[in-house]
Amino acid sequence: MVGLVGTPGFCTCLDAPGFKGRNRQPEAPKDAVSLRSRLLGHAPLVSIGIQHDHDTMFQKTGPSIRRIIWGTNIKDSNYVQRGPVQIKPEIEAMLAQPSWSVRSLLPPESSTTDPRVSREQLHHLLKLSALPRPKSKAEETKMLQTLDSQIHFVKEMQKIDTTNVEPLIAIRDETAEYVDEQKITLETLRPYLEQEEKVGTNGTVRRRKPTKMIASSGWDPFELGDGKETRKKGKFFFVRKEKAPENTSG
Amino acid sequence: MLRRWYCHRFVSTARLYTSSLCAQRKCFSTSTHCRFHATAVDEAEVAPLRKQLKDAARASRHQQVSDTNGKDQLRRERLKDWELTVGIEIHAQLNTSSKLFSRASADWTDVPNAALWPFDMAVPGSQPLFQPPVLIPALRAAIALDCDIRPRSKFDRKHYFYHDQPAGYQITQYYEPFAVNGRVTLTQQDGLAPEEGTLHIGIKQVQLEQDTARTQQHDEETSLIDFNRSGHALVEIISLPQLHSPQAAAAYVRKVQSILYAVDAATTGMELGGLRADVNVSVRRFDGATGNHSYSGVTGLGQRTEIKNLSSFKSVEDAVCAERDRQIDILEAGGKIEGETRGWSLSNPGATRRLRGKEGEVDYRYMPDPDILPLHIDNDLVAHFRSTLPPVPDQLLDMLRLSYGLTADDAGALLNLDNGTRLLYYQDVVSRLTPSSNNNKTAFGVHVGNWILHELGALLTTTETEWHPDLIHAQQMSDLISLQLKGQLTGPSAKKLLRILFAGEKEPVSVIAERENLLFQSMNDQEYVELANRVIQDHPKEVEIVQKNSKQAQGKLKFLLGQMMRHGDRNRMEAQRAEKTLRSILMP
Repeated sequence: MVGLVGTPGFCTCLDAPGFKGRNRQPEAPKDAVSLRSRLLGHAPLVSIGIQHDHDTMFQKTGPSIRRIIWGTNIKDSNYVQRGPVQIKPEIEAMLAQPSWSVRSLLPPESSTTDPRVSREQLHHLLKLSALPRPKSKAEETKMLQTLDSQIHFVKEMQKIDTTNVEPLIAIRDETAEYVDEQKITLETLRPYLEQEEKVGTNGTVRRRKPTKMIASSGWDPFELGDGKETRKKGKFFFVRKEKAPENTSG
Repeated sequence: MLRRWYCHRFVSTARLYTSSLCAQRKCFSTSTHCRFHATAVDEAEVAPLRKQLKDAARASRHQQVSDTNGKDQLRRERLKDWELTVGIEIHAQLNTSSKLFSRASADWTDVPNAALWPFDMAVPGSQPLFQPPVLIPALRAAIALDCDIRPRSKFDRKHYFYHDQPAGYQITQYYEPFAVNGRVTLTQQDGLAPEEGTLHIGIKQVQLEQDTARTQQHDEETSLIDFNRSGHALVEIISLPQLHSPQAAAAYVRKVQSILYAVDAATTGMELGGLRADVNVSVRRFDGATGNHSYSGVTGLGQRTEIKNLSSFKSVEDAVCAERDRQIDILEAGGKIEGETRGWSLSNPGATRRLRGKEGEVDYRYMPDPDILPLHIDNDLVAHFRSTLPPVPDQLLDMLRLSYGLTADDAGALLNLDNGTRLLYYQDVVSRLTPSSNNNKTAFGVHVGNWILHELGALLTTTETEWHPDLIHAQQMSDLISLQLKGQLTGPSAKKLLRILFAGEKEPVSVIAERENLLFQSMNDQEYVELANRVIQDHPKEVEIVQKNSKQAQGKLKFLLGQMMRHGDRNRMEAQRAEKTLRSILMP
């Protein structure tokens, strides 16, 4: 079968028509399948899992190694057509059913265990986060349920063995070269060490306070929007303490 | 050199009189050479008296402290059953030009809310930018406290809401601080009671952190906030719970402050708010079940409470006493100590009050800060600071005792006076006296120390003047001392010259001495004989008593000698020669 087999060498499914792959040849060879047939779906053979160049090598010389090894007829209609790609039926069967869902990390819907978080704990957490208390019982129940499922999720996570694994804090460059660049050395601090002066003969040093105060960046801290004057008391910010209400809820 | 003034010890006159009466009864003179009782006291006996005075002062200080916190004998007995354990967290403002994570100036304190960058107010979108110069005082502090410096350390967030914490969290180093495993040594010199000996207090870690904004109470409802201080670099020094007495706790804080000041790491002290101490107190019985609390490897402790906002050394001591007594009261009555946060104030020194109970316990939700890169410190930088570290007070004390020959007390006084400038003056004077080739400073060390601490100190206290280096120029001082050592000035005339210099004379000492005719010219024998004869003529009755060699002869001889000294030129008389002449005339 003649198809647009692409060039000898590296060829991936990305080189199938419709994709602008890196290795796509600007000009198709003369015996390429016509655009029409390509568009209709008679695509060049791409077999998942086997490198194409094997095919190109043996395409015209006889049965492909693939056929010898796997013993299947490429022309088997069992192959499932998924767009430009033909997939082996076993693989298709495997992909049809999801093997895992994030739902396995959540508590089952019909769970009737007591909520892990009590009302007091919920209020404590909200207080720590400076969030308002729930306005109604329904909202509170919903919050508790959400917290419950989140805790279940985290507990599932914690089942993984992480001994000797350092927790990730941020994705950073941790190569030795970068660390060397970031290191604070004597050279980094030398200009600041020159601002000190020796006092006496015992080795005491004292930092010379700058004679000219470096002004701030020119940014006015009170200029945070409308109503600048309401935020000041003289040159200070101010905060008013509200008297605690007589009847604290909860 | 007979009356010593302890200007640097502030020993009250009441204590002086009760503990150092003149050897003769009914005489309340504290002078070692009492004019009324002619005991010839020489230099060797003066030192023990000084020591006696100091010991008495120290003993009464300890007595006062234990008295205020346990007036009855019963209470003091009870304290013997209980062991007190104290751990202290010290927060010290670092002496640096910029803040920790912003380029705003840390020196600006005049105008409120003027030295701010957006990150200091947690303006949305602002990012932290680590300022390397903060490491200079931080590393010096950690090295002076004998810590190991970690090459890599990380920053964490400590969350709590308060109006002086704009971001809602403080950036600190909770999990991986930059320095660990330090040590501070306390001795009797630092204020420990003799029975405690020498203490080595371990330091768990030293970490960098941010300071909060400054709050001022405007009226009952309103507080004013100044963000100049927000974001300042602080260093937190956490000690292990190895302190066992209130005096040791206060001594520890004092020692750490002096170390930080000596290496230029923190130059504002506790009194000015640059250094704050939070104290953790717990008690347990000496005999009996050990507690089941532990902290960083120290086990068997009782439940601890924390006392915050202590702002002076004395308050540390008093607060620890008050809290210890409170805990013992509760435990002896059968109750349980709650882990809570308490406060102490000067208005009620005998008790602590609760600030926050366990139910209000803040959960800080420590979390590594993902915005800030880990801090990597080069080993060569640490080695550089180690080798060029300014001397800590202990090292200076040793140097003064070994190279200059001073006593521990005098050395301590020199270090503490006038922020260390008196010490520099002293060293300057000694170096001018010592020929450059000869490094033998001990020859002059004690002598110059007496002049600068005691003679000059006496003048300062009597005139209530504050010392400064230009009061008497170092060259003038050294000239005066060298003249006296060479014998060209007697003791009294040297003191007179000192007073002249103190009054402000700036001319060279030799010129002044010539002018005031203070230089000692030896009187020849003829002059002594003439003077003696004159005195004999004036006081025939006393002469008769002496010549009869009766019981009062010695006394009358001294009287005649005194008359000779008075009438002769004081600057030129030598008492011993005068006495010899007198004796030879009267009792051949």
